[in-house]
Amino acid sequence: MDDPQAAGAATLAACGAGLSGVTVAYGSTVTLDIPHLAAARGEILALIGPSGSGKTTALRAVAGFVRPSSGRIFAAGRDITDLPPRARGIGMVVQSYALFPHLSVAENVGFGLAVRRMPGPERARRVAECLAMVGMADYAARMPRALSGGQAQRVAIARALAIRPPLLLLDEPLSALDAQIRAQMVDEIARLHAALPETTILYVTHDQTEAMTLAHRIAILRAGRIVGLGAPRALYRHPPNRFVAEFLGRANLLAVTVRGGAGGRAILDCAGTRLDVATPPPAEDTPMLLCLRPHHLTPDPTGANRLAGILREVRWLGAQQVLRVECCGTLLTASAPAAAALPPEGSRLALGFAPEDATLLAGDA
Amino acid sequence: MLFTKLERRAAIGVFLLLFALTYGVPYALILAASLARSWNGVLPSGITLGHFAGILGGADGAALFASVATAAMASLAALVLGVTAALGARDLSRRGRAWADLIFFATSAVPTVSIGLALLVAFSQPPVLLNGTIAIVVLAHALIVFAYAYGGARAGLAQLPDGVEAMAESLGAGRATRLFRVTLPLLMGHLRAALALAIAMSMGELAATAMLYPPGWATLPLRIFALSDRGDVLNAAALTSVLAAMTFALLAALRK
Amino acid sequence: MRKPATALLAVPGLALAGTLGYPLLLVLGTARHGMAVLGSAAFLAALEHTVGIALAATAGSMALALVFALVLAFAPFRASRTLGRFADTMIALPSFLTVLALTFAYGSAGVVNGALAAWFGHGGPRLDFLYSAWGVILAEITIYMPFVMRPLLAAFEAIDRAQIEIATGLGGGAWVILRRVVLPAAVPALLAGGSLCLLLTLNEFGVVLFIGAKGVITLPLLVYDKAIQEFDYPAACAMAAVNIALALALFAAYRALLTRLMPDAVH
Repeated sequence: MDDPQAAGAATLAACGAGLSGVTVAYGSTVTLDIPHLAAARGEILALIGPSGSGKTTALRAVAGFVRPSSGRIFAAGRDITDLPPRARGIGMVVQSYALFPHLSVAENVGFGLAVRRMPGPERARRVAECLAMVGMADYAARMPRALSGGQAQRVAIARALAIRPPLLLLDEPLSALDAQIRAQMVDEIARLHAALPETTILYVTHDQTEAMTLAHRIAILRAGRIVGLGAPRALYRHPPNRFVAEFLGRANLLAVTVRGGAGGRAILDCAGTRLDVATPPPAEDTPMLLCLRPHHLTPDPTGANRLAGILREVRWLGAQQVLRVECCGTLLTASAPAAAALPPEGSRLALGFAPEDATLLAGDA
Repeated sequence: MLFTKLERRAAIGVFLLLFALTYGVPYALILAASLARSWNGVLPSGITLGHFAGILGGADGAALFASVATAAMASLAALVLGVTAALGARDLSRRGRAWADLIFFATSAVPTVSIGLALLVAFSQPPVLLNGTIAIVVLAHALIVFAYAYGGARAGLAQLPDGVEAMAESLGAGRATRLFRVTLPLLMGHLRAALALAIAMSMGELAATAMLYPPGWATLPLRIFALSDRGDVLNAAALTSVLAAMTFALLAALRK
Repeated sequence: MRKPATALLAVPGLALAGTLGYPLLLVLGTARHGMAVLGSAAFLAALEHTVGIALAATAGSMALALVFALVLAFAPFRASRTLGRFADTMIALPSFLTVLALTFAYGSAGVVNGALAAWFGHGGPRLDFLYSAWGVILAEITIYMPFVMRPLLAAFEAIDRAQIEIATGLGGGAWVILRRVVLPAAVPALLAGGSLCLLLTLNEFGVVLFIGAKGVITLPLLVYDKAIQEFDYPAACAMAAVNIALALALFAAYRALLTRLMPDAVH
């Protein structure tokens, strides 16, 4: 995301979706400021962030419902900034489904085709094909109010796909569904994308699990800006800053000071405890934050990194146990297998971690 | 539960008594009068449908036709204007919308007698001469019921399902397609109700019509007043029952 | 991205300006030549009658609507829905229908007076209130009550039933709950309905015309008489201007009240 804009424009001509120098402002408040963001053809790019972070604004700008104050927007390699929404040919699925309540399921799916004046028989074939793709072939004659939430969202997806869009925008598509159906629908979307590998998807959600399951890359937004961009695994293991670390999964943050190091190793000090982390060392005496994921912290360690502490609380969650351990004046969260034998609450307990599992972050972000 | 059993009974008793005194008895009597052969004692005597006999011919029939024709023309005109105004007002800023509402709804606050007088003053002189025409009656009715049409369309637009119009646009629908294939069909319920109310209001309009009607275009309310004024209350009651029945039927049919 | 608002608004805007705005301006222009009538005893009496009747009818409508709405909302019975809808449909019926109905019940040849005459003879007591300001007020209460009842029912509907159950559980009797929970929640609706009622009663024409009581002339009726019986347009316009100003001022107050008290509703 630090790419210079000029270099970005060259890749945008070939991208599935892209924003270049896009800002959106209401009056004097800037709600979106994206210097460069591009999804490759066929990529699923998730935009996640807390509410008000600008993720939906970004999506609506691509769809054409929000006019950017500056910058260019691309879809399927085309500059679409000045096109009205109806000329963009982008598929859209929203949280509220937005099915046309006065049209049947088949008429909903065929709406974009009817508008394009596709002849009746061909349209009927395409509608049947799209409904079959989402497993709703038997519901063609139903009216939307007779559908459950999950069914309605399948129809909405079929409707978006019917126009064979090169780019599909999904705006919190599963947020109105309950947990079990949501999990099913995540699988469904993954399956659909496998069947349509050329389709680029921008996926806005506040649910990090959906993003991590589906997306090839995740862009994390905060206050209208991108504060993290990368493959889910990389972002999770090595978050670039404190916000990403805390937004994506649970994170323990320990205040540490750099004491030295060489090569790929940094030596840190945490309230008198010496720690060894696999990362290029920053300048000596810099205050930093050490980010440790709960499942990377193990009780009773044997390795080099050993944080002495006191076990304050154990919560049993079936498949695992969650431990709250006070180390170096900070309450850390760790997890242990359900079967692990633990000392009673209040006893001493040390936590350890592998040098590769920790990430060093700037003091505040 | 708010009330105990006893309080509940007392409350319902008070309700039924008041309701009977204000609505029940008077309306039952109107119906009775319209079917009465004569009414000289405490209660009417004899039953006849004779008062309804003239409804399709003569002065009563002419009044019925004038009322229905005026109401239909005025209400449709008001509906078209009201929907256009509501669609326009929707795209305004919050503040602009408040002003549009104020101005458009204000038409319903102007006393109808004053609307009649204003049209009489304005259109009895050049450049536009409408005095003594049916058009001026229709115009007055359209102005009087405009606010109901606007209000119905406004309420309907405000309750449109979220994102449906934007979705139509993103699926490739142009402005006209969006309006005729999505927005208006979704408004239909509200528009039908607004049309029913507008027609009902127009059918009952008295004040402006009394000031403007040309010879031969006396509407039902004017005819009923003429009958009642000359003491022919039984025929007035019959005609009123017809008017009320038509209003009820219209509301029931169009509100579905 | 949307800019047709002005184009769409231009059609009804121009239509209304030409067919209502321009005539109303002419009324104002003509009124200048008839200002003398505003000092006449007839005008002042009509103004007094208009305001007095409107205030009384509004107060009556609010009281009746409150009773009706409370029973319909909190003590529903088998026929209550139908009766409520019947009263609601009154809004769409012409106002003189009610006068005619009341005439058959309480008029000089109506059932009540017929019964009185039958029991006490023709020299006995009679009920003559219908041909006075009271008759107009009773008719207007009957006609405009639904305009208050409708928003009141909506307000009662919106009260969380759990609130009432909890209040009952805390030992509140019906009166206490009514005073502390139910009525405060209904005040905005009552005020809004009441001010609409006041506006409509100020402008009422049919009721006064049909009752035809000699002593009860209101502003709209006087405007009509001056214009149609006496062809005195300047005087009619002057009085109409006062009537319009009164109505529009009240309407502005009503809208302000609505946006203040119920900001989310579309009115």
